[in-house]
Amino acid sequence: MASIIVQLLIIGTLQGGIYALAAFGLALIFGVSNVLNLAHGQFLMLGGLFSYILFMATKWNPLLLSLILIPLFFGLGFLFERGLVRPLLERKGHELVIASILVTLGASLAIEDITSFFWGPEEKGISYMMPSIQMGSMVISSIRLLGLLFIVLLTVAVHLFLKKTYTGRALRATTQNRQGAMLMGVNTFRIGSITFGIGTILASAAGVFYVILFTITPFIGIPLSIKYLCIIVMGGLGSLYGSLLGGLILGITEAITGYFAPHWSETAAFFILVAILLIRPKGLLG
Amino acid sequence: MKKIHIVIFIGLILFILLPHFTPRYMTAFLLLLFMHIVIAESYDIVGGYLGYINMGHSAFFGIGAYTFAILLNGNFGFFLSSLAAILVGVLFAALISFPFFRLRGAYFSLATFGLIRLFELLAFNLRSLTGGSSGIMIKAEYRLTLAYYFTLGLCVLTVGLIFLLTRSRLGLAWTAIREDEEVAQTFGINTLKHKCVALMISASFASLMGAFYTWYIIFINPKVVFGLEIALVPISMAMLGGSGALIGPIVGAFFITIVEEILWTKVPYFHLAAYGIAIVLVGLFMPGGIVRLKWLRKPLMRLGLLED
Amino acid sequence: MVILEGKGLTKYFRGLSALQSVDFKVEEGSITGLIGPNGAGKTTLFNLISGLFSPNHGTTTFHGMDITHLRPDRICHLGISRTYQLIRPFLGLSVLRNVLVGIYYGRDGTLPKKKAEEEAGSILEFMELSSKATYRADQLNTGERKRLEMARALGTNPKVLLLDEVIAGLNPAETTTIMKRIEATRDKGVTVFMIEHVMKAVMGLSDRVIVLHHGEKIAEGTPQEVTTDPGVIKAYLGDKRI
Repeated sequence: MASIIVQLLIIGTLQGGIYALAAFGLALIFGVSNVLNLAHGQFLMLGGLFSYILFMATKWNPLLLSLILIPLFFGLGFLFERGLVRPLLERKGHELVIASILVTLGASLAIEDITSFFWGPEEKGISYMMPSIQMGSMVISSIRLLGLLFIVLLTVAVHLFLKKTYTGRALRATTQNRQGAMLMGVNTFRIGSITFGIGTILASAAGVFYVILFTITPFIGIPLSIKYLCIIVMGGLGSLYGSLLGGLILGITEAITGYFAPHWSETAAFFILVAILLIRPKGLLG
Repeated sequence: MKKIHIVIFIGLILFILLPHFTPRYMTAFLLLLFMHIVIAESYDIVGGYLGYINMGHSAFFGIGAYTFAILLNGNFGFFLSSLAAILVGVLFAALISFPFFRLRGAYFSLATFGLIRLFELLAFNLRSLTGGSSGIMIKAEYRLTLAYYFTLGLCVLTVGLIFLLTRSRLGLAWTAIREDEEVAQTFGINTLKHKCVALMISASFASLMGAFYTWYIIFINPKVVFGLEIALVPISMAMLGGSGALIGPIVGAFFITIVEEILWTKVPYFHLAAYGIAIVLVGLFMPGGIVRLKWLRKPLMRLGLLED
Repeated sequence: MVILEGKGLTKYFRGLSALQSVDFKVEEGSITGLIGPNGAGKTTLFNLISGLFSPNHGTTTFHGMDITHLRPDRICHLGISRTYQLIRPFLGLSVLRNVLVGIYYGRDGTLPKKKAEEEAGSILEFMELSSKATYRADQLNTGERKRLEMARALGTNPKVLLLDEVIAGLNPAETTTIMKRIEATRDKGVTVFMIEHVMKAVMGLSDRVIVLHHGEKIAEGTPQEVTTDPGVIKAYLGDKRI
């Protein structure tokens, strides 16, 4: 029994880590631009898709291939913000929410449709065999451990970026007080584009793990976006690290319920989502 | 009587007589159009006038559909099943008001969006009640014309009631809440009560439409009534046409439905993409929707179709 | 007769003290001024009174009734109405409908449509806004918006009117107009409690003045007494001798 629990915890932490990674990216984006980015899930899907294509062509370790994708997705996110999001920023409140929903949703639908046309609607997955690790009576897949390691490294990298570099601190300043940051000389518009780039990298990285551990189709984007948005709301829209916590909680919940009552895992996850929001309207760490 | 009233009256007469001299697919097409208008307009009560973008609006539609299907198969008859559909939808709206209306803006929209997914999953999992992914088939024959008239009637009722409500004191309170909720409170408006009432009214139309739709289509499953399509399409119709204006969702519904029909026959691919690009353009350049476009506003206002 | 009273009002925001043990009394039928340098806590006090949030300690009473923790809409029905420093009319609504909100919802009880619109009309006339009745609130200039704020508050038929800096930012002509309106309001039996920076106005209108500084009450009395109080002078002008 104990080994099952440990296995579940590892799987849950990994799954939670994937959620946390993408959610963190989305939290950064929301914190800076105040925009509900429904297209985030599409970048995850594209990250998985591109690494699949690269893997099929080269057969290299997909986690290493993902490093190639980093600059690509930074650029994609950057351009997406410049072209579609920045024009919206002058709107206020109610109008901004409507506009950001329309634009990011429309983009998501377009991306989904075009992708399924060119690459087909079937499931794609990467099976990359790596030797398993034996620990006592447990057998742990080393690709999972490696994946977990990558996620932790990525998160730490972003965290250091936010804490130690000028841009990172400018980014944090913008999430706390946009006006104030502008007065301090921060080019908040450029920060917005950079943040979108970073957030998109994280989403695409999550997508790479997705295609290794599960499978992807062109249609996972929008449901995932909804899930991620709910995670960052659950974690607290004002808090960047709340989404990490939210993602982990969700992943572990899904893993545990997935084992004991498979059909109910996603339902349980959403229940928790809604429940947390209702108990703490500002989110876990908001 | 103003000119525009006469036009509307004639239009109604035409729609009433239509099934008798057009092919069946036209009647079915219009039924879907009117259905979308009902859902879009009822969404807009909360989304447009109150200012809370309820992305989970179609949950009421789905709840009404399933309630109706389950009861009809339990031999409760059409009338009682429809009534139950409304009651369950309204009750649900009242229940979620208290927790959900504590959230604002984006929080509210996302939490309600999550709600739909939750319902889709519940419908999947509570197999003994809902038939799971196989859905429910109601014991009835396919009946187009009657369903068409019911839908047309509900559509007229919805638009008419919203017309009256938004011009009443209640509508004034809703707009005040939308403009500045905190200030509205200090002017005597019990905001929670008013938001709850708005949501309940909004839910009643949507859940009855869910019942009628089930009656028409005979078979429902989680994807059809709680899926992304029914969740997003009516809301984008309201936003595209113009949220917060009576004819906004109507214009949006006509626009999207007609464009979709034309596209379907001409271009077999990329419908979703074209739809997506279209709403991107709307979001970027026409946030107030079609009816608030500069060159349309004045003529529409002069016709009495648009208020300031 | 004291109509509005606060005892020991204390309010913290995340560790920062906005108000510290403030006591105040407002006499019925008077015009009472509330002054103090920026950041003194004046608007916070108004927010406490109108119920937007509760104090950490202390009580507010209206006609002897404890209103400290009542909801804002209840407090409005009881007869306390206000304007906002950062002018917040309902921008998307017309001037007339702005006032109607107060009339339909702010009163204890309600009026039929015709009477309500008549009331709104006479309030707009009183505040010299009749010509702008159908204009949208966001089409008005600053002076008109401030008069609209006051008109909207009057729509609720208040017994106490809290005015938050209605005069600051107006030109001399507008200032004279609104000062006359404030006096006329008092003459109708409404108690006025006003925050103001424009000294000429406060001292000219008020029967009594309360002075806040750094969240504490530092003086209270007639305009004459307050302007010659050394503590008040020091608070405004600093310690340097002139």
